[in-house]
Amino acid sequence: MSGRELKTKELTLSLGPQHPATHGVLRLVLDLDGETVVKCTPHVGYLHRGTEKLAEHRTYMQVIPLTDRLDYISSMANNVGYCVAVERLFGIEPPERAKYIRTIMSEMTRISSHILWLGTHALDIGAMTVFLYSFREREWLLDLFEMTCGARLTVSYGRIGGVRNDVTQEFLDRLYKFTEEFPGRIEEYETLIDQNRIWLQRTKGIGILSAEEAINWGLTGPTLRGSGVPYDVRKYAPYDAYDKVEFEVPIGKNGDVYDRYRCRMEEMRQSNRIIKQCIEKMPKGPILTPDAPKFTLPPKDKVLADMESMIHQFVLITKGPMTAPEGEIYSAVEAPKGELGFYIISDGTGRPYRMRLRSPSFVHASVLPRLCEGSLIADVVANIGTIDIVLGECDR
Amino acid sequence: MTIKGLAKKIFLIEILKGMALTLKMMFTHAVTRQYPEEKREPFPGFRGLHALVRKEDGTARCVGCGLCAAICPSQCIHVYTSEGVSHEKIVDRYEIEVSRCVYCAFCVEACPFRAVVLTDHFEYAAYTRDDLYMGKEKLLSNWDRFMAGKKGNEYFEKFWHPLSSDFSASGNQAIFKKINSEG
Amino acid sequence: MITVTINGKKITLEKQVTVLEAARSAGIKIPTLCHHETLEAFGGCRLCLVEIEKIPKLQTSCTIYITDGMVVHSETERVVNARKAMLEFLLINHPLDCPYCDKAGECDLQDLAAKYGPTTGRFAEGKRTHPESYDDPVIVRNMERCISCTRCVRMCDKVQGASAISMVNRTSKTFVEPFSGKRYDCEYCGNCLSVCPVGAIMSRMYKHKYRPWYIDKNINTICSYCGVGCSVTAQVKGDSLVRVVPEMGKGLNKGLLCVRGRFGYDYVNSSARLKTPLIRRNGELQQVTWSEAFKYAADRLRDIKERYGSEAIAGIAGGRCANEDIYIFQKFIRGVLGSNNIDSIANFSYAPAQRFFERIFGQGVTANSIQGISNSDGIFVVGGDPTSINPILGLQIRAAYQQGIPVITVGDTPGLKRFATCMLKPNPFTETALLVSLLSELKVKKQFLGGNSSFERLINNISALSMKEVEDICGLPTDNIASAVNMLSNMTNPSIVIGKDILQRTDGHINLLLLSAIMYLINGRVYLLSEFPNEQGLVDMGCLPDMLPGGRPIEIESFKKRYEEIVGLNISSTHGLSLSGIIENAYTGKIKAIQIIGENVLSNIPDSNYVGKAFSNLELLIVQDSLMTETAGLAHVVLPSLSWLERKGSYTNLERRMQFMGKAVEGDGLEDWRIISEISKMLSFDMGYKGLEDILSEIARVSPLHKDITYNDISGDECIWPYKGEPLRHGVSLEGMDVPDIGSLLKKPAKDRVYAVFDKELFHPDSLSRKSAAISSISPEPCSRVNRALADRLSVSEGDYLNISTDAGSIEMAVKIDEDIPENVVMIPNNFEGKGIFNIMQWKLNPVLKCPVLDGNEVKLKKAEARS
Repeated sequence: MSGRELKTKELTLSLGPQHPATHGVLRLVLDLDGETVVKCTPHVGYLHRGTEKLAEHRTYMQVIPLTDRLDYISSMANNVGYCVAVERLFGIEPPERAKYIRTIMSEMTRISSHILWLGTHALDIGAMTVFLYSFREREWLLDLFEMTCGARLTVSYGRIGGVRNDVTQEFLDRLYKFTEEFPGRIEEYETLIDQNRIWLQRTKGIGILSAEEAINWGLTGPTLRGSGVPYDVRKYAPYDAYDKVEFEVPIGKNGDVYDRYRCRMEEMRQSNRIIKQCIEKMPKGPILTPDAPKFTLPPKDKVLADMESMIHQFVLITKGPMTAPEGEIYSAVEAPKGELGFYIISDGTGRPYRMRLRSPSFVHASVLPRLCEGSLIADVVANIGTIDIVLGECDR
Repeated sequence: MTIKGLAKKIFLIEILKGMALTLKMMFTHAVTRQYPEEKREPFPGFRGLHALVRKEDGTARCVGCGLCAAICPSQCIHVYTSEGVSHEKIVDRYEIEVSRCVYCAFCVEACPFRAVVLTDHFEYAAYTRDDLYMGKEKLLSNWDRFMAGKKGNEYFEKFWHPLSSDFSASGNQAIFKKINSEG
Repeated sequence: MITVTINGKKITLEKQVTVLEAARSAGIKIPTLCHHETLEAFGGCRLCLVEIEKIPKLQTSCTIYITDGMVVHSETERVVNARKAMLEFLLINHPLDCPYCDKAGECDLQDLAAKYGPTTGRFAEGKRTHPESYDDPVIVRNMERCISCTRCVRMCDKVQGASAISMVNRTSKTFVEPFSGKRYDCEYCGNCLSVCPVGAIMSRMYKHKYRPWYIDKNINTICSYCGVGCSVTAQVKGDSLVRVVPEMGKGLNKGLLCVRGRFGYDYVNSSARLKTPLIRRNGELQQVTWSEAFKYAADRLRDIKERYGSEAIAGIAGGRCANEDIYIFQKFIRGVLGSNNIDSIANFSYAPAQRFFERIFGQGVTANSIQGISNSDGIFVVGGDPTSINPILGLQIRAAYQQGIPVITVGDTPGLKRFATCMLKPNPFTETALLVSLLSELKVKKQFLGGNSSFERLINNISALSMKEVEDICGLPTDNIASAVNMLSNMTNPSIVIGKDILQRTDGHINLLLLSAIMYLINGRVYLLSEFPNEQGLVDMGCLPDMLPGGRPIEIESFKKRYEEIVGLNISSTHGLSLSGIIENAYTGKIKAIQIIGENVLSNIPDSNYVGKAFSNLELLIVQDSLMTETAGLAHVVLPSLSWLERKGSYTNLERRMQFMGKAVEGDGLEDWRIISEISKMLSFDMGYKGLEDILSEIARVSPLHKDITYNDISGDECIWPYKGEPLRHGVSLEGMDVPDIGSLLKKPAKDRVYAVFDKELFHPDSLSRKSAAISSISPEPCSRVNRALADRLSVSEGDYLNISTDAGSIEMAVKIDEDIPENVVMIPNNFEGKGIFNIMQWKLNPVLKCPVLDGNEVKLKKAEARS
């Protein structure tokens, strides 16, 4: 028998890009030793559309639909992130009412994104029921989006200097009803999985990241907060109405899949709280800033009556704002996935000279090998789920 | 492990709780809709299939200024104009590549003439690309089909933005009313 | 040194410039509207107002000059408000037209209002109305939109020199109008519409069809009309051409164009375009496939070569073909068909003139920059009207005149009528005598002793002709000649602009000698007017019977050997027949086959009857052209080639600048070089080119002049002579140069006879522009010009038709009365089919230059019957 030892051979397995558990077109090349992942190589770029380059050839307004398609399940937050960046670059301030509307929309997006995450994450791990429940509430939110701006997913609702259109009374009423009912719904989700032994076994102690490590990897959002780092752009650099509402930043302790799950669940409660406050505090007023007529489209009713308005309509649409100040800006918002940053350089023309996106999903995808290597193949899907990436944003 | 914890473990308490929720749901109304049979009207202002507005005299309201083509982020609108016999501007062709459109409704926002609109029709799947390449006539007939009568005008009243009122506060803006939420 | 402070920035400048220029040189933006780089300052729009310390009121920065220590502020609140107010004023009378106005999107007023103007209007009163004017075939005026910046008027007056339009009325009723109030009746350069900042003056070519954002591609190319080679940009939407426009400040034309370049581009879409190959069968041209046509052409060429020998085959190249085409063409004729009988119309005047100057002064003596004309201190124009042959070159002369530089013209130059210090209009065909007298006077003035070189000895030997004698012959007062001589002798750095007319004379060769002597005496720079965009290319690429590419004579054995080695073909070392020789031999039946690329020989050389007969004697006439021409109508094989805008290539202009023309749209047909290489393949020589790059790299190897040239060089701004190559330095050899016999010049022309003189029209210089609908709408039919006295004698008035006949034939043509031409002359253009001066001329050649001569055509005139 000597000399004939049993040998194992590493198996290379390609997970994705058309795999339901990879949440989009992510491809992982896994080197397996039995069931243990020895090496995990993420391949991204299947959804690359050149958003950053496209933005260089579009006016500032035309970029808005591009941002819809980054993290396409939280397009409102992307719109807001972009508009905040451009407004800071141009030095304009949206009106109070618009700020509240945007805050509401951002938080609705956060809830909608988190419940989608919850449903699919649980589905990946094996708990199918939550998926059905979470989509029930998501539908509710998408209906509200549709009611406001006519689209459910790619909303293009943000505008430089405000929002596309005002919210209706029906919207506010329905949303308020939602905020009152939603905490109960969260409890339902928790009833289903929070204490479920299978869920706990599949999530606790899996994919542990220490706070230091999470910071070093550049993680943001709930993925970072699950490791106990209370970093949240809404607190550190408030935008829109976040400095006018009260909310807490939930954090985890162990930095494992379960803690991140808990973080997101708590965040939904906080978001609900923010929305409720915003509705209550929202004042009457303009939804587009009247102070920056060189950057907002002129009122339609004046375009065919007033030469100045007509000219501004033409030039803003065909060439973009002519008075854009030269300069550059990095501005970030707390998108559902994490810190979504827009770095924009303006050369004074109506189009961005350069736009660079700091997309949380891209950063989070980079931590995948660290999470997966050494773990079991069954945990790979839990790890993909826990970092909550959307490839539209990752690949841009 | 405490005895309570052990009991939980043995008697599958948390699983039974979950199943109880599921059981409870069996006696509530279904939230899903059987789509093709059961349809929900989209909310007003839904951004669906495009239409060109028809004037009272039956012609298109579009004058061919081309602003929609300029703003269109996916560049799917093609306008071809030419000079008419009395030197007026004639829109020879107005084409939208529906399959390339991203439904941002910027064309509606750009048009100073209320000449182009996104209707609330969304069931326009087709077997060929040609069916999704809409010429002027098709777009005008979309108006007749989906926006005829008062509907079209109402659409513009509500969804043609920005208007002067968007730049100022107005009395009938929606705000939180306690009584509504409770009632 | 002048130091000014603008917005806190210290700027030191050497020259006293305007505040605006100083600010712009430092990168400080000051908005302007009426200001334009090519125009003089006006200070009308008041958008460039700045605050200058110690001057209480705001000042227009475009008109005020900097002084040392001046402190300027351009962004103070006062200035910003003033700008805003100015724009508000401009907009109160501006119609809400943007959706209909073609200018929207590239409108200066829009941009400025969006940048600096107010955002809402306060003016509720009505706007002025003014009906749009469609009186003109190519230009539309909408004076509601006019903002009275006067850019168009200044352009027309000062740059174009046409003075066709003017501001009318006052205050808010001001508008721009041509003097007729309706049609412009000007040179139709259209430069007014290119400087119009709004949509007040616009081209009708793309009316209501254009929006800047519709354009998918902008293709830089070179105008295909004359030898100047103006840069234009073709704008394409999808696969169709929307418009061809210049870009202000770009190219050697700096964005200016003439009527042909601006409006004449639509011949590309003409209905006369050839779409499929044609072969003559049973006397009729019938459509065939490409392979059939290639096979037919190749078989016939092989057959003729075998039966009659190579010498029975000839090739004629056209001046609108690209360098690559004509290089391949001469290679094909020389190498594959084995005949040196290759020539072009360039050899009728341009090439011999150039060769003459180069023989004396060395290769490249005519390669002078067009911009240099306005930098010279005197201009001598002879033998043609530069403003109609090479209009953009003509503009340089006009600009020079306006700077006070003396301009002397000889002959009929209507375009320089108001721009000549001294206009010498000798009796018809007596320029030689005038030139002799100018030379003799100059010799005295310049205290020319001569004798140092053989050329100086030759000049010395030219006998003198006094001004008194000339006065009689030419009918010019002595004072006039004397003042011209005075001016000429005071010039230190003059330009001499030479047109073809002076060469296409019985004494053309003598005129050349006299001109080169004058040039030598006054140390002038020579410009040869060129009618075709690639006339120089024909010379450079060896489309001459005795020259190989690079302008190397075929006798130079080492060069011929090198050519043969690179090309891989053997060529004959004997001189081929020149164009006139080809036609004469075709007439007598010695030439059996001619291949023509891109040239309408029948229409463009006199006399049409003779040429027509010569061509009908041929056994094989292959014509490659993009348009159906008279010549193609006689052909046995017609091969459609791609037109300008449909193909890439390079042109060499009259200053020997190589320029790249881009491809904008797809067309029917093939590039000329591709057609030729296909035929060559059938004649079992595969040229093996995959693309233009292969051809250019071969040219770069063959021609020492174009050594190492690449498309990068050509596409760049300055691909100017001698590129990277080596010009050829001839030893001065004056063999065969005769001293003119003055005696023969002392003839007084008969007063009672009427002579036909070739009129090179601005609108239709040759047979191409008539295929352009736009230019044909400006000038729909040929017009002869006569003096009023002659008209009275014939009892014709403007608009009547005149019957003009010679022994060779007769034509009928409308009459225009022109006071500036001599009484015994009728000016006849040659641009419409069967209605040109070449139709009534006789085949007559200059004995030395072998070019047709245009002088001495006595005509009989009578009023034509009334036409319906």
